[in-house]
Parts: sequence; structure tokens; C-alpha cells
Amino acid sequence: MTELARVVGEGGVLGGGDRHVYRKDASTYAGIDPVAVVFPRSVEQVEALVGVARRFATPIVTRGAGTGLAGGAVVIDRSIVLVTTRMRSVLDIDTTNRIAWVEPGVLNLDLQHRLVEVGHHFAPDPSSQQACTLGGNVANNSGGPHCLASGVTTAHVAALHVVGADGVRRELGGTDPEPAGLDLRGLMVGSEGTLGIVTAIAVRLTPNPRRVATVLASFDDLDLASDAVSAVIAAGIVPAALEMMDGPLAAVVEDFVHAGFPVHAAAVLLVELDGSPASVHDELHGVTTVLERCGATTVATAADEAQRAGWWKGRKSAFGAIARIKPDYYLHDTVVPRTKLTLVLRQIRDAVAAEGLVVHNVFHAGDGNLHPLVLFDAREPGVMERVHRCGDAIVAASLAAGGVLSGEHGIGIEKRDHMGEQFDDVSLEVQEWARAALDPDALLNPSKVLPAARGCGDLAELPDGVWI
Amino acid sequence: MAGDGSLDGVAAFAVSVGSTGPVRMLSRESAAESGDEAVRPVFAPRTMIDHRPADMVVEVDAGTPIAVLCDVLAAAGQRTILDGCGPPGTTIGAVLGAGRSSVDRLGDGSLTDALLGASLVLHNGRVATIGGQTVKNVTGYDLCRLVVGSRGTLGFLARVILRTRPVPHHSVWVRLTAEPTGALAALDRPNAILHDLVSGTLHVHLCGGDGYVAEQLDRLSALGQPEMIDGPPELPAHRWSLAPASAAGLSPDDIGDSLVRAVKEVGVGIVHADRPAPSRTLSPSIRSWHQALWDRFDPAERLNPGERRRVLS
Repeated sequence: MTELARVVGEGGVLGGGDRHVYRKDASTYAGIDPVAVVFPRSVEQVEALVGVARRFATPIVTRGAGTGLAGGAVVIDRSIVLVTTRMRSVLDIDTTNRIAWVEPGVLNLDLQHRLVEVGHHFAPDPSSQQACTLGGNVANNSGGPHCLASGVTTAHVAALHVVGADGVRRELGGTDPEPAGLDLRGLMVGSEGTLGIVTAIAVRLTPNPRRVATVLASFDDLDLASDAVSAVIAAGIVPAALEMMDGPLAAVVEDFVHAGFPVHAAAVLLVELDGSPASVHDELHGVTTVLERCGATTVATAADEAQRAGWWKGRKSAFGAIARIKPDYYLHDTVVPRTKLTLVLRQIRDAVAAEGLVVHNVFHAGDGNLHPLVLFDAREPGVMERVHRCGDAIVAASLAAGGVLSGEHGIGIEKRDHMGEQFDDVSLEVQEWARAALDPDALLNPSKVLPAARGCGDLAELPDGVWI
Repeated sequence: MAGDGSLDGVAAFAVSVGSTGPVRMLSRESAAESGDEAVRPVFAPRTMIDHRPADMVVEVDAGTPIAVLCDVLAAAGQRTILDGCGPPGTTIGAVLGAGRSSVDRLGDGSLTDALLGASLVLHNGRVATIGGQTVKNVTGYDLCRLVVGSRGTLGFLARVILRTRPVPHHSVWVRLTAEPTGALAALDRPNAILHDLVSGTLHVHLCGGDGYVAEQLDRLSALGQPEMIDGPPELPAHRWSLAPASAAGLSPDDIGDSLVRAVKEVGVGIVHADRPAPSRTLSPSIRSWHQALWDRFDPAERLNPGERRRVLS
């Protein structure tokens, strides 16, 4: 503690009982108390903190706002937690190069607000964007509804400043289009704090489109809505966003937000198109035609910005609205080929029903990124085992359909031990090479991402107190 | 991909790579150029495996020429952003290994966004799966991005899964004389704006439907007199990479005396010139991470020996 306080000052380190708050993130995993919690304000302090951690052979778990859902910031080893929320400056906004340099603790939505006045935005828009940090977005390679056409965080990060496990500061990538060397920037994005500590980010700025059109369509059959998603893409249209919400959840959201969602539908699609006035006009005609042909019972286009904003507020409030149905939910994140949506949604519904539980779906349908919400009441004895089995069934159904473990939440500890179901031993070993090359002593967020037997840590299984 | 029972071509390629002795991955067409008898040439398989238009992915062997891929996809109204990344006979593996985007990067994005998954033959002759089959995937470390541009120094691409896109209704190139930053500001999502630094001419690539192309041509008409042309201009051989604002401020004199041609990609920062780009030097700390990765991925430097120097430059 003394060494840490020497680096960040007495006000920059937390010991005692307050450390408890930093055991876990927004996932359902409860960790253990960290050795200490530190709040650096500068890259120099981060370098010095890594030096202290190295001297005391104590790992560092880096976290932003703690909104992660896969347990990437949960403390499961004896560790120091390094919180980036005091590194929260927007360092530079450069519209000529379409780059903004930010510190990792800047909130996603705060940056978006800053960019409004210069007519640009940062494309990734996670549902947690009011609270999540850009450092967290980089760590998890976060997505959001508007990543369908433009890609997740890695497509919008030009360069990173990181402090490695050796305590050395490096710049990865660059603001030019083809920096020399291997794409270490691409390797770092999505590495969940296991390869380096990000201290500054050059995010790419996207000019705001001249026109936006948003369509809300309802279906009286979930399968028809799933098929319509593929039909839109097959028609050669790649919307800016293509979201699906099942009907019962839409009804709950409507009761919560009063956004104008249908209350008797089986499924709702929210489609957004952006670009030039002419291209949006043409694609709007194409999308509405496809949706009607696919059996939509209603197809409406937002009449104005207020209506559009209301629909999006409803979409982004879905997780909060769940509390009106059950006190607890377990949110999953897998991706399947979009043509398998109908099949996999049905398999998930049946698997969850077999456990006597209920699942709702609100997800990024356009890129096949599922977010099943398994509802439960944690006070019910034995319910967690059933929830756990539902999670396993969701993973199994997704992988069997040719899908992957995560589309935007990351692996953390939630899916760490599922990695062997997607990758064989040789493929996991290659991932381990990457990790061991940059952090041979397992100083940074050990026991995450790679399966226990493969990770650099020696943890064989989750310790007591870690639950799902 | 691993587990689908169709690895014959990949498995045979892995056997040819083996686990000992230096090997260089070549295309059949370039085999005569290997030049070094001490380095054994190997050839990636070249079969179209599966195109799933509704999922917008294609699975194809890395030894397949990009022109073959282009023809197959075009029949289904799709394409990849590998188009234009080299002469038609260039293999997919060579394009991804070089990691150089086409002149359409302004609209298409970086080449690194194209690779979704791959079978990678390792230095020990084994085959790893990296990435996946879906258009969105953050599972584990993003080794696909690490491999693109690595010139085979981390492993040899045997089979790849690529993101596809719809072929636009219209693909129109026009030429005009106008101020480049004005054109960039006036247009919505142009696929490319090429500015010839010596002649001052702009070459603009517009991709979209009838309405979009007409709308954008109207805007260009306010800046100059657009003239339809068949395609992009021939580009000088050397490639400079600059921040877009630096490229915008570049004059022919900045590149060299007696410059014949230089063409910059407006809004991107690539400059094609008939002079080599100044050499770039990576910091020792960045080089140390490269070496640490190579020590793990190919400790004896048997994969494409000599290419590491080109990766670093």
C-alpha cells in the first residue's frame, strides 16, 4: 500500500473494506477483494504502478466503469485493481484526420456529445454507452446496434498507447493508414487487459450522415421476423442497424418507455438506414418492400427525430425493463450465421423451457449477434444450476450452428472454459503464444480469456464465491 | 475449417510445409521467382470451398487467384474488398500477407476487415483455426488482424473465410479538375478520390444505385466538369503512408526532384509515387514485441525467411 500510495498519492489508492466494491463488474460473478485499488491519473503513474506490481509479483486487473458482462474485470486472483476513471480527458479532436485522442476513462457517450458540435461520431454505441468507458470498449472490442455496417471497436481505433507488462510505454498502430510492422494494435483491441494497459486511444471519427431513416416492423411470428432479417441482407442492403426484439419484451418495454412499440406482436424489427438522401430513399423503399413481402403485419417509418429517438430509447431500455418481469436476468452473447437465426432461436427457447425458465431476446439480428436473456429469481433454491445449464445450451446451439462464443462482450471468465468447444488444442496454443509473448509472467489480468489449463495463471477452477 | 471434414487440401499443404527446413509460400505463377534453392517452395491449395451469400461470407483456399474468387462471387451479386488489391492472378494469401488495401479503402475500409477466419499452417506443420465463420466475432485474441500484413512470418494462410459485400448497382469512375478536400466534403461516402499531385486531376469512384450516383455527380458538377472514364488511373509503383492531413499538404517537391507522377488517396493518406517512401524505423520497444511474437510463432525463422525485414519497414 505504501509503495502504491507513493505513486498515486493517498487519495489515489483504496484499501480496507471499500475494496469490496471493486471485486466484480456488471457480470453475475462475485470475485474476491483485491489487494488494493489504485486510480492513476497519468501514463507515468501507470508505468510506475506496473513497476510496483512487478516487484511484488502481484497481478493487475485493469477496469474502467465495470460495465463488462463477461467477468473480464472480476478479481479471482490476488490482484491490484487499476481503475482508469481518473484518466478521462479528451486530448484532441482532429476532424481533418478524422481522429480523436482520448484517455481510457472517457465515457463513450461523453465523447459522442463532444463530437456533435463537429458533425462526427464514434461508431460503436454499446447499450451501456452512458456508463461504459472507451478503454473498456477497446478491452472488449465492444459493438452496439450501429456496428452492423461499420464494424466493432477495432475498426474504429487507429492507434493505442499502452503500458506493457514490462512497464514500458509503446504506441501501437498510427494515424497513417499503413503503419509499419505487425498489427499489434489489432491484437491489443479485445485482449481484455491481458496484454497491456491502454493509456490513450486514437479513435476514428465518422462523419454524420446527411440523412437517416428508421423503420419499425412488427410480425406475428418470430420465425418470419428472423427470416426477414436474412431477406433484407440477401436483397443487397446492409443497414446501419438491424435489431430484433421479441414481442412480449417489446410489450414490456412499451409499458416502461411508451415509445410506440406494438404490444401484441410476436417480434419487432428496428431497421436504420443512413447515408446520402438518395441512397437512403432507395434503400428505404427496398427494406419496406422486403419486410412486407416477408409477412410484416406493420411497417412504419419514423416521422421525425423525436419518434426515432423514442424507438431507440425503447431498444436501449430493454434490459432495464426486464425487471418488470423477473428480478434477475442472465444476458448471454453469442453469434451465429444469420441464416441460422430461426433455428437457433427455436433451440434456445426449447432448451430454456426445458429448465422451467423463460427467455427473451433483444439482439443485433443483422449480424447474427444473439443476446438471450434468461429470466430468474435468484431467491429460488437451485435456480442458478438451471440458469447455468441454459447458458451451456445457448453456447452449444450457437457453436453447432457454426457460430462463435462472443460477438461483443468478450470471454472474461464467463466463457473462458468454453473456449475449448470452439477451438481445438492447436488453435488454443496459438492464442497462448500471443499472450505469453507479450506477458510472459502473467502479470496482467491472469486467468481470463484462455481456459484455465491454458492461461498463464495456475488457476484450475473458479474459487469459492465465484458463481454464475 | 477444422472439424468440417473437408481439410484434405489444407492437410496436404500442412504436410508440404512440414516442420523442418526453411520454406517459402509461393503462388504457382511465381514459382520461378523463388530464387533461393536453399528455401523449399510450398503452394497453398486453390479451391473454392463454400459461398454463403445470405450470410455474406465465402470460404476459399488461400492459393486461389483473386480473379477466380471475384468471378464466382460476382455470379451471386457479391464481392470482397480484395478486388483491386493486386493483378488478377495474385493469390488471396499473397494479398492478405501483404496487407495493402486497394485504392477503394476510403469507401471499403481497411483490408484487415475482410478476414473473418482462417486455417493457418504453423511453423511445426500443424494447423490452427483462427477467427470464425461469422461476420461478428470477439472470441479470444484477434489473430486474424495480426496475420494480415505479416507476410507469412507467423504462419501460412491455407484457407480463409472472407466477408463479402453486395456488388453495387453502379460502379462509376469520373475524372475532373477540382480541389480534393472540397470534393471529400461534398460527397457522401465516395469509394475513392485519387488526386494526381502533378496534373491536379481528381479521379473519383462512386458506387451505388441510380439515385445515389446521379446525386453525387450533381455535386461534382458544382466543383468541376466530371468526365466518365473506364477505371482508376495507372498508379506509380511506390507507396507512402501518411496521416490524411499530412498527405493533403504534400506537394510534388516534398516527394522528390523531377517527380513524374504521384497520386494520393484523399481522406486516406496513401500516396503512390515514382519515388520510394522514406524508410521507417520502429522503436526498440516495438521491435522487442515483434521479436517476442516471432520467437513463439516461428522460433527458427523457417517461414518465409527474410520477410521479417519487410514487415518492419
